[in-house]
Amino acid sequence: MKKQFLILAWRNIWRNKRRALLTISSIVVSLFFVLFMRQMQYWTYDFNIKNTVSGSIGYLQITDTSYVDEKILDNSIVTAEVPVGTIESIKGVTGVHPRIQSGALVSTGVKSKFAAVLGIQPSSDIELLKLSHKVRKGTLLEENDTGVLISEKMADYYKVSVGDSLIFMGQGYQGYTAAGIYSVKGILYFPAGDMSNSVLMSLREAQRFFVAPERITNYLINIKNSKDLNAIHTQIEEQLTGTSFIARTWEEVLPGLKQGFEIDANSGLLISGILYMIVGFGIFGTIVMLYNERRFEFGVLSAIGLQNKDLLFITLSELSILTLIGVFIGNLLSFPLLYYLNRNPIKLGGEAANAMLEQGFEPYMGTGLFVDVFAMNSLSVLLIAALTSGYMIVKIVHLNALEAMKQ
Amino acid sequence: MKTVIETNKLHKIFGKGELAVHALNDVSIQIKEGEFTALVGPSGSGKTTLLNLIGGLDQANEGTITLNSCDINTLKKKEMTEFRQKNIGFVFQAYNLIPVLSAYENAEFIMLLQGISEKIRKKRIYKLLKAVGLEGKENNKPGELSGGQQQRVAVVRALAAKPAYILADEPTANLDSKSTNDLLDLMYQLNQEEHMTFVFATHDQRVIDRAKRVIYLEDGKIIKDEIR
Repeated sequence: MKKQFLILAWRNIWRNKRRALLTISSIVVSLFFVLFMRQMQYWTYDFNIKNTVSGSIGYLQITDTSYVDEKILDNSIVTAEVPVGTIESIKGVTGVHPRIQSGALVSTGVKSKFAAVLGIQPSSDIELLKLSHKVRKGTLLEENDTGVLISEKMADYYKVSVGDSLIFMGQGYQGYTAAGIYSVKGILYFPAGDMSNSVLMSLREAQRFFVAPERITNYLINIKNSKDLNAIHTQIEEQLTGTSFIARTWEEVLPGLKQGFEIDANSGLLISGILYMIVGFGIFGTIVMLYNERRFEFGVLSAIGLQNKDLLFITLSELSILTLIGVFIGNLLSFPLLYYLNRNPIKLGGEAANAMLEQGFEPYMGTGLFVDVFAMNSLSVLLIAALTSGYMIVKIVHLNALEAMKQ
Repeated sequence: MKTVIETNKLHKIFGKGELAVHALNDVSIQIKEGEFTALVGPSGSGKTTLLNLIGGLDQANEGTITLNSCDINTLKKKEMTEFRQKNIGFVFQAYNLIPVLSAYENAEFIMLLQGISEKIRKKRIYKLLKAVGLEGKENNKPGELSGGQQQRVAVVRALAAKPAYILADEPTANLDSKSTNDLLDLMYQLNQEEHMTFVFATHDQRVIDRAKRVIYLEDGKIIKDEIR
């Protein structure tokens, strides 16, 4: 019998083709835009986490506990005391990178300015920070290089080029004076904000400059899949039990960045909500019209012996089929565009790019192909349809055959 | 003959207080199997109200209704719907076929609800469609049939599941003379051949003329019960 009810439901949908198409269209258009927007947002987060977080912060960071509140060299750690080998062997960990992050006054001629000084391991960090693509002048660092890399912005400020010298002065480990003259080996272009005021040194040279041999400020830990972050975090914490070291996720290290993502995601949610309201009103309008147009017929069907639950099954099947068609087409139509932009992200220019750079994002626009985004938004539409069906459910449950036929 | 419809001191009041209308007032009738009965009276006399009550579509304020040996006052809404499905065939003034179903599918609908096998459904419906002169129109949708043809499909739908009796509310009101006569011939023939019980609520003199029993109502009361 259910088969016949479904056949009846299918035919009923097409009784009013225009209305059916309008309802489907409202779902398709709204879902298309919601999917496009949400996939773009999540792609941006993912892209920036991969490109910015993995290079400069790491998905996880190991520091001394005291470094969390006071980021000074005195709170640095001795490399040998951290069980790097064990951490590297944790499934999903792709790299453990020692860093020195501090700062110094950098000057030449009459110009001086405070800059972040980052000690890196050239053998692994050049690739991690994608420095090869960022070289504008000169060359990159080698393992025990004594030169430095500066940003294009700094080069413009100091009016220096490759081969010119810069004077560095700061505070080293435990009150030592950190001082040195370094030759500019390369000039890099950093699109994102913080790195544009950074100087890159080899780790060995940074340890020498800060008078902190065998010491680093933090280990950056990168992982294969961001979904494993919490699980890996737990495993690393287990390894650090009983030490003064602490492992923190990038979200803990840079809460502002996470908040930025969340604010952006919430604004997307608001727009999604508006689009879903359009879907909701579209479906609700269909339901109200459908009920009122066919109230008499419902009365007749009830009079001749169709139970209200069966009538409900038929009408809810109609709405479900309409919604599923809309959801299916919405997903189907959005996929090619999402796929194209996923494979070919667009590099932005002008004001849009500057705005993104100021927020610390790379100026690229692409879209994700996240299955959960497809699933959640499709389910949201189905949920809206289910909620708006409440009107039909109430009306049909309380349907009185005679009253319906009188009207 | 078995009594299929029995009402005892029925009262039906619409509205409350000073606006209350006594639509049925102490109505007691007995209709036996195989009767061809017309409920007749002017507008507001209570014939449709009585038809609704004996169709299990409405409830009386007072009195009892026994349909096919069942006291319908004891039935819940769901049970009443099931009772209607199994015992009562309805023919409405405006045909009220399902527009998206073919003539065959419309006729089949109640049998499907009853879970009757396809073989039996097919046999019975083709026989009835042939009997009402709709052979070859099985696949036509209601919109592709004339008013008379649609009403004949409605009759087939009402008859197909072999109900205890058929209630017809002004079945000829929207039909021309020829269609009316054809329909009445058909119903009369089914009454004669299959002993099907028919109860009409009607103004139509042509229906009244063909009825074997005519119950006259006025102001909610039976004023005359004529058996011919």
